[in-house]
Parts: sequence; structure tokens; C-alpha cells
Amino acid sequence: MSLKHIPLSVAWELTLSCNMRCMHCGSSAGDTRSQELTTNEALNLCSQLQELRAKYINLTGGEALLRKDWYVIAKEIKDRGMQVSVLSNGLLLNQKTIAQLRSVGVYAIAISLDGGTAQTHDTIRGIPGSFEKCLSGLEALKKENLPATIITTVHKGNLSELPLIRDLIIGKTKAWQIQIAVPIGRFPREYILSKEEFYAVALFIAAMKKRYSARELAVMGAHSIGYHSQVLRNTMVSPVWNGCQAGISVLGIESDGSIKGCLSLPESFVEGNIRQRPLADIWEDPSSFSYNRDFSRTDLKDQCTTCRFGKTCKGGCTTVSASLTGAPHNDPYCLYHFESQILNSE
Amino acid sequence: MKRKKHLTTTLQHMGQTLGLSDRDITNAKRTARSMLGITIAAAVVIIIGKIVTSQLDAVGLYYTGVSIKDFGLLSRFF
Repeated sequence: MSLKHIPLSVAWELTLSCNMRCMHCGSSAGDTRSQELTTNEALNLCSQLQELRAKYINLTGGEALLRKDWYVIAKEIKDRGMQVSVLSNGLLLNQKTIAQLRSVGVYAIAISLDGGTAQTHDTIRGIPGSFEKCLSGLEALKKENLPATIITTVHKGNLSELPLIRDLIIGKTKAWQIQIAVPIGRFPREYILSKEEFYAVALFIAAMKKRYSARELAVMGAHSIGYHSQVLRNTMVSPVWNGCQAGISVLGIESDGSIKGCLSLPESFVEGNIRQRPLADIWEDPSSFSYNRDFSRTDLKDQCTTCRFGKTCKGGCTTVSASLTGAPHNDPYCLYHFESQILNSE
Repeated sequence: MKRKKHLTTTLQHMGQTLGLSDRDITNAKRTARSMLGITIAAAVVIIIGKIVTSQLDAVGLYYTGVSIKDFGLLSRFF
């Protein structure tokens, strides 16, 4: 199959079912989604992903480990020559699941840690005791020499605890991904970081990247954190930002088979469902993912219209832009734009 | 000069809330050396991407994933 674009990185929501009720959850996870894919449908999807030459499949949720057949699906992905990682809240990490993760040969197990204290983490996650469970899971993964990574979603409720989280995880994890919460799902808008707080997070990441080598703790900003700063060191894992990759090299799959360019995007960005059309049809459809594939400079809005990086940046993270402004190509959480404001304010 | 001082003061103020020292603030700023390093790293990513995916429309050139799901792919460039 000749492909113009390849979904190198795929985020696959195995189930919307979740054993936590996180305040920032963009999917409002909790109950199982209506008509989630059966095991056979999921295994067939693995074959379709292989056909599209997908490389890295990230199994997420809800809580991915709540799906009884997660191991079968993960193994199928691996057996088909693709790499697999699992994102978990840590509650179900036990001897059995850790043995299964080892058996599959995952390249990363990402655990969510949102507070430097039990009170903060448990309040955000809605489950008393989840902080201790998360840390013991992290210890168990380290003991088994499995590649654990940490994801922290930052908002006003936990911003000040970033240093505490760092102190907790140093030496226990390969990487620390820091991202900001945006008002999707059940995240309360009043908790979103101010632009100044957002910039402080980027400053923190840049400082930590300098303080620790990538082998000690690879700190990285995700989604909207990092592009085109004229002041700070690179805060991303990648050295370049060429715009949102949704529908270009990134693909999102919802647990009922709905397809989006990126799993974080709102439901209005669903391009089709694999129950109606094969994945390749959706991916290769010339009308799919047009917000990115057919992007032109005239699509930029507001502050981005005159930006010198606009053509390649495409107005930043589509999810952040769409959730805050109602449209893509206008991400208001932009380091470059904020720096222009700081420098011009004097 | 005044602008530079204003910027440093602003960054120090921001950094205090997250326990960053003045040295951290200085280290967080990009330098000519760090810019050169990032330029070389970017060139390596682009060239390898082009070679690896040369049968395609330079997916590697476009590829700039920035999260843990991409870590396995990009960590080899550290």
C-alpha cells in the first residue's frame, strides 16, 4: 500500500471504563463507552494498523488495564511487529499485571502522578490511597527493571507541587512528561493555568532538562508546551516543532472504533468509525484530517495570523486551541507569543 | 539592557513559585551553544527521518511527536 502519511504513533483508548474519577479527565472516563470493540474487532484492528505501517501503539483509557483482554491485544500488537506502551493510573499494578507487561515487552509503562502529596493526588484522582498505590506500583516496576515513565497533568490545583513530584520520582523513572490540563471533559475551567503560570511550567521544564541528564530524568513538555521560545532551551523531547501531527503521523482510536487525528481532540473531530469503513479508507480519505493535511497560512487565527512561525507551527496544539477558542490554529498558550508580551511590556 | 533585566526579573519571579534558583533560571535560558546543539539535533532527526522513510513523503521530516508515546522513537537521539 502506498501511503502519503503514516500513523507512526497511535493512541488507542481500549476502554472508557475507569476506576478513578480524575477532575482533569478530558474523556470524562468512568463508565464503559457504549458498544466498545469486541476482542475480535480489536484484534482485527491490530492487523489494520500493521497494514498502515503504524509503529508505536499507546494503549490508554479510561484505565486500559480494566479491559480483561488488554494483554491479548497488547501481545497481538507486539507479535505484528509494532511497539506497544501502556498508560495506567497505577491502581491495578500488581504481580500479575507486571508479569504480563514484562511478557508483552512494552517499551514504556506510563503512570499518572498528579501530586507531590497524598492529599493533592488523591483529591485530584478522587480515590483515597491512590497516591500510595501509584508510588508502590512505580517501585515495583523499578524493581522489575521495567521502563516506567511518569505523566503529570498540571493545573492550579497541583502547580506548586512540581518540585515535590520531581523529588519523589527521581531515580525511579526513565522520563517525566509534563502537560497542562485544558477544559475538555470534566476539567473545571477555573482550574486552568494562567498564561504566566503556563510559562512558569515551561521555565521549570527547561531548568530541569539542564539540571538532569536524559539518563537521570528525561523531562519533557507535551502538547502545547515548548514551541518557538526565543528565551528558553528546548522543552520538548523533539528538537523541532513542525506543527500538530494529528492525522499526519499521529492517530487516535476511541474504544468504540471512532477515529480521530489525536485522541485528545473533541468529538467533533471524529473522522469515521472502523465498524463502517476500514481504517485505511478513513486514513487515506482525501477529506480526512483536513484541518492539518490541507492547512494553509490563511487558516491561522487571531494572534497567529501575523506570526513568523505560523506556516510551520500551524497555530500550535489543535486540542488546546480547539478547547480554548473553539477552533484550531490559534493556540493561546504559546511561549513565543507570551515572550513577545513580556518583552514588549517594558 | 533594561529589557533584558526586566526579562530576568520576570523569570526569577515566576521561578520562585516552583522552587527555581537564580542559577536554574540562568540555566533554563537558551544560549548560542544550546541553539547550535538543537540545530544539529534537528538536522539529525530530519536526515534520519528522510533516510528511514525515503519511500514515503518524508514522514520523518514532518515527524515531531512530543510526548511519552513518542519517547521510544525519539529517545535514541538523546
